[in-house]
Amino acid sequence: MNSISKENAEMIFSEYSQFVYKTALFLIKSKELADDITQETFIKVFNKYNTYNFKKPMKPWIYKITLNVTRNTLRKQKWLSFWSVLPDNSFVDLVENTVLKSEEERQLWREINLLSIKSKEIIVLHFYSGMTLKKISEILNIPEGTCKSRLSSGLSKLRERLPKTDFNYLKRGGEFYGSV
Amino acid sequence: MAQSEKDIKSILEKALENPKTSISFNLIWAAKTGEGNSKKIKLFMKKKFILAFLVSIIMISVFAAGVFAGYFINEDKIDYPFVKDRAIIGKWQSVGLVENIKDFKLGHKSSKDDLYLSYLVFVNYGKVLYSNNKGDLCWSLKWTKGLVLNARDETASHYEIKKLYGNDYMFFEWKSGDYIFRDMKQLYYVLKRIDSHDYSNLFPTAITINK
Repeated sequence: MNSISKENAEMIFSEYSQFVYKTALFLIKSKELADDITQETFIKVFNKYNTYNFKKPMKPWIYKITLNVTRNTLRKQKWLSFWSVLPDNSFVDLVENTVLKSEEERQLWREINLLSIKSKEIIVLHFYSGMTLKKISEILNIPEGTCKSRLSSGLSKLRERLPKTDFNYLKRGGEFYGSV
Repeated sequence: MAQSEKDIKSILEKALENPKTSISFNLIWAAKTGEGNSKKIKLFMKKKFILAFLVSIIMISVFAAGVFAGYFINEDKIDYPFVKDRAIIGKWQSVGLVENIKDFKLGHKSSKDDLYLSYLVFVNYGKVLYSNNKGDLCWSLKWTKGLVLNARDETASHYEIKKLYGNDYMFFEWKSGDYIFRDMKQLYYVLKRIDSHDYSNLFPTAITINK
């Protein structure tokens, strides 16, 4: 199989780069690291292009690489925290202070960011990228049931932490699965 | 799509609407094809290199410390048989710390703060009660004729008793961390005999030490 041409690569980059960047930014909270992840993800995408199965959609394949690179970066951050060499992660505060207007939105944003990385991966892929749990389970290489339980666990935590809000979805809980 | 999904989706869309990556396609393509010479790629690679370098140095240091520690630690032979020495039995109070035995003179001035070791009590059958200036008492040492043995630090300290100015003084080799880990010459504690009682039937807390 031939390696990727520059034109093809540029097309792929222009179509997916912002999505990759935003997913990484949501998970890692640092603009600087999200840039690093975007760069490393696309270097891998271009280098491994000959292993990509053209019968399947490209988006999940790119997301799988993105999540792997993000997880590796998070692991490295744990080491760096020993040396207090931590990057700026003010993205969460920035959104809270400048983008979200209502207190309910801010509360929910804060609580979503406190969820475990596993729950956040499902949330960003499901709610932001609009992927089905079945597709997410393929990307993450885990059973669909595990996907559901991770999402359910994340939502349960939000329900516990936000008892006074009137977010309908938090009260209804399991209705998500019916529409997936 | 259920209302619930729309709500979470809406928050994520608002939060992630404006941020955009500063990475350009040309930068990544240059990195892929090995033509990259931009500052950003260099910085990216440099960060990785520095991290890998730091981790390597730390791992090598830890390994080397572990390997070489064994060579530099002073360990004495401590498995000596017990030999009685009637002259040592009793309580001894620390009165000075000298570099050489001949340096000790009567009225030798030593700040009490300098004297970590306060008392030694030698009892029959090879036990030593040890007290320091913090008030700690322990039975961690043993003695045999001519030596005080420390099983924990693996040191054997010589002692010598001399009659000076009508009193018994003991010169006791002090093998501290300086001797064990840094191979420095040991100092000598000078201890004056307080009594010659046998405390072997008493527990540490029952021994009266009048400071």
